[in-house]
Amino acid sequence: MRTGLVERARAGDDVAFSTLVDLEGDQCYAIAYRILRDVERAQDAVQQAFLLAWRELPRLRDPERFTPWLHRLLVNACYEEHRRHRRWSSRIRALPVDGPASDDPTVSVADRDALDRAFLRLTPQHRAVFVMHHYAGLAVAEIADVVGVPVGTVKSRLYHATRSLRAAIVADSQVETTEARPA
Amino acid sequence: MNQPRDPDAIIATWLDDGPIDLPDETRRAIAVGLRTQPRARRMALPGAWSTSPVDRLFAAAAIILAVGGVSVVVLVNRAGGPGATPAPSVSATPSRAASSEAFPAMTQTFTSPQYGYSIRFPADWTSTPGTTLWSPDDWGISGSPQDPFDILQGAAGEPLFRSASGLMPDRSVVDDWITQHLTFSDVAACSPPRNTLEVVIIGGQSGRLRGFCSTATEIEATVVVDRRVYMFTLFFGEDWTAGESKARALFDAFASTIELHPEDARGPSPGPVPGASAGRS
Repeated sequence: MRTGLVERARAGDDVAFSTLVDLEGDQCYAIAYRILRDVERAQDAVQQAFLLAWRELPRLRDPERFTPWLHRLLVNACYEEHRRHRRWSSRIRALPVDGPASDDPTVSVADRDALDRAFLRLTPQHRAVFVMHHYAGLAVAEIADVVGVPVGTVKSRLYHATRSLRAAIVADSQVETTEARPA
Repeated sequence: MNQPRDPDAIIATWLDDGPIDLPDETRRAIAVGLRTQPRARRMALPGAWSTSPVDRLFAAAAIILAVGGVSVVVLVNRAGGPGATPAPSVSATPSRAASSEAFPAMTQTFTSPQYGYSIRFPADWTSTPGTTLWSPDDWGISGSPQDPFDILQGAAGEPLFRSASGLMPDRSVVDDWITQHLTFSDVAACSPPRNTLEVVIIGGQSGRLRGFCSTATEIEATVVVDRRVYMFTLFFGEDWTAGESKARALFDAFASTIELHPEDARGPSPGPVPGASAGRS
């Protein structure tokens, strides 16, 4: 069904393309948000990615590769959004996560704050790989295809990003322990 | 007593948090945008090869290559200094001059306003300079926005010649860095290490060239001058049926007209390069 929609959209059927937006939009938005950690910029990235997809769809060789191709455009749109807003980032304090906060007691406010800060210190390339693997569930080879770098680079970025976030949690735990210890 | 904490579980929960539904306003904005967004054209080469614009290009290439062939050989010989990477093969551009195809003359010159090079192209092609500055360090995705790239394009849309240049990071190893950051293909086997690729000469400098691979009908060359990496790519549409040898002849036709002027490029100047031969590849 999806391949048929892609073929119709490739031929210029905007209704078919709108259906693809309905099918893929939520996933793209969820990924973009997690890379950028900003609702408005994630919306802009998704919009940019879909409009670029509409423009470039006639060049897509294999309709069955629509989703990874779209994700590639999306990740690149996220890079562009990050680049566009980077000059402001030094003046912006990491804010709590937008959207509904989890009720899961395993993640404290301090954990979230530490993770937000650590994540925002990562490059968008590292963030994209991390999100694609740990959130979107893509295998390393699939991520290499999406972000357009060798598998070894994906592994390296994934390792670095994961290590940075783990370190943030561990450091946060040590601060809590120290503060909780009686003088 | 504190319970042991599992950092990975905390990270997973943190990552799951956040919005998952694309807002309706964004969906509406996309729908509105579709009506105004121009669409790429699929390449439709005319069946009659002898009358196509591409056909005329080959004639121009034949003339250019015949004239430039001898100098290419001389420059190739010069490029192989004591520190040069052993080359698996060197572009045999002179032999392509034997082609009897009909080409139009490369009568126009495009001088890049920001990337430090010039190139000649046929009269019926158009040139569009990049509107943003290319950052090779952040790049690496095929299908990414073309805004930073200088584009030469024929009336049929494709073939399309795309160019840009940018600075590599300090202390990076040329071949390794380009392999890591600039080589892209949907197929992993199409991204071999750069130092195994064919050597070509562009603008008097030795570079490396990647040809067709799998379904990727594109030819791409990278040349590095004083840490400025130039990337030249000729894209052929999915309907390209003339074969790689004709595609390569067309690429060579363009490449033989390229002159590199890294000193005219926009952006920061490269710092001193340790070892003169290390700065060119």
